[in-house]
Amino acid sequence: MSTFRNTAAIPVMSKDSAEKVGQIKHFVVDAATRTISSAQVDGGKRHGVMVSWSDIAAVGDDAVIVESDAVLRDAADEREESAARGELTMLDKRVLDDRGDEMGTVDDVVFDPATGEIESINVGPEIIEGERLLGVGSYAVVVRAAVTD
Amino acid sequence: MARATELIGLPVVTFAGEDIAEIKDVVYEPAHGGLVGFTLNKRGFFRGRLKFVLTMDALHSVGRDAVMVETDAALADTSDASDAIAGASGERNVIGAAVITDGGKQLGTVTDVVVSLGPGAEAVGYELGGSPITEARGGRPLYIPLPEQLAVSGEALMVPGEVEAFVHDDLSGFGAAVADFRAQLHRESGTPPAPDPAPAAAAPDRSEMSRPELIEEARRRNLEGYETMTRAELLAALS
Repeated sequence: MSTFRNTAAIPVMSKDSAEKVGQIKHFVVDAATRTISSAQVDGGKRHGVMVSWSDIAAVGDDAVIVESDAVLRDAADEREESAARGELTMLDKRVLDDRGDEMGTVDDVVFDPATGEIESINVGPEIIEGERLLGVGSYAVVVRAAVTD
Repeated sequence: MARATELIGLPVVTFAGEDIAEIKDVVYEPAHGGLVGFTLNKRGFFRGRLKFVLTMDALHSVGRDAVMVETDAALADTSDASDAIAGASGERNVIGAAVITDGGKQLGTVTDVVVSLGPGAEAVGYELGGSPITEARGGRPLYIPLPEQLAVSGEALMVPGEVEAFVHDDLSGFGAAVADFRAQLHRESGTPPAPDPAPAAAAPDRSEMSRPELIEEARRRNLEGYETMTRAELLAALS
């Protein structure tokens, strides 16, 4: 398992050149499939470029690996452009449940590095299972309310 | 539980996490004793009235921090919305109306409408002020559950005398009072139960309160270690 914070702290390396191409700044999450669809890479030769999650070869402890810097591309749609501006970043965003009650802010997001699937969203001491994710917007991360006894 | 005025300014948020409007006003229909919906303002710095409204059947839930809708399709154009909400105006305004029991006693004037929160949000009571009863309490408001049937005119609301037995000091535990009151109204009886002589001082029935409501009461009463108590432990500690 990897987390957004850990993954954003390590370099993105190109497999064919062995060069650092940047570092992940924002993750774009598709709430419908609860998976990471792409990420914005910053700090390389080109700023604010996107990489599709399917083009990421590996997420290791110390580096994120892409085949080459040829996979880096411009934002493909409105959602990616919005994500590139940081508007859809989950980290530190307020979390609302579908009842309309605020649960706190996102401390970290745990995902499966092989599939990009969101395993859980950590809000303070609370671990929200990925299946409860309903949406990631500019205002809030929306999750299904916990079933109470 | 929340006062209707506390809902003003809440964001309207879609499941996709976008804040698409905020609550401008709560539209309430006293004749039917129910919430009709909300008028809306735009979000952000240059806020102004939005010509869209939100009706109760279109929204998902009314929460403490946001009014949730599934998508922005929940917002209805004013011209398409029901007359009740489009024509929301002062004449429907219940605030300021005197509340009088069918025994002829004035309990106070309505200062706010109490709303239950969650997916089935509805009006459940009134906050009252400005009567000898509230003045004797140092001006603190009191709460009465909303009867299902009541007569209403421009100046007054007529409520059954039984409501007096369910007058509540504050919003905590009010949910249980509402449930009890409704249960009593439903009980077909030729002999209405005698009103409690000191209703405001009566111990609240906590059996229907949720853990968060119990925690809120425990916090106000400075109970030790309430944060980690289970609901059953809270019930025992509070009674």
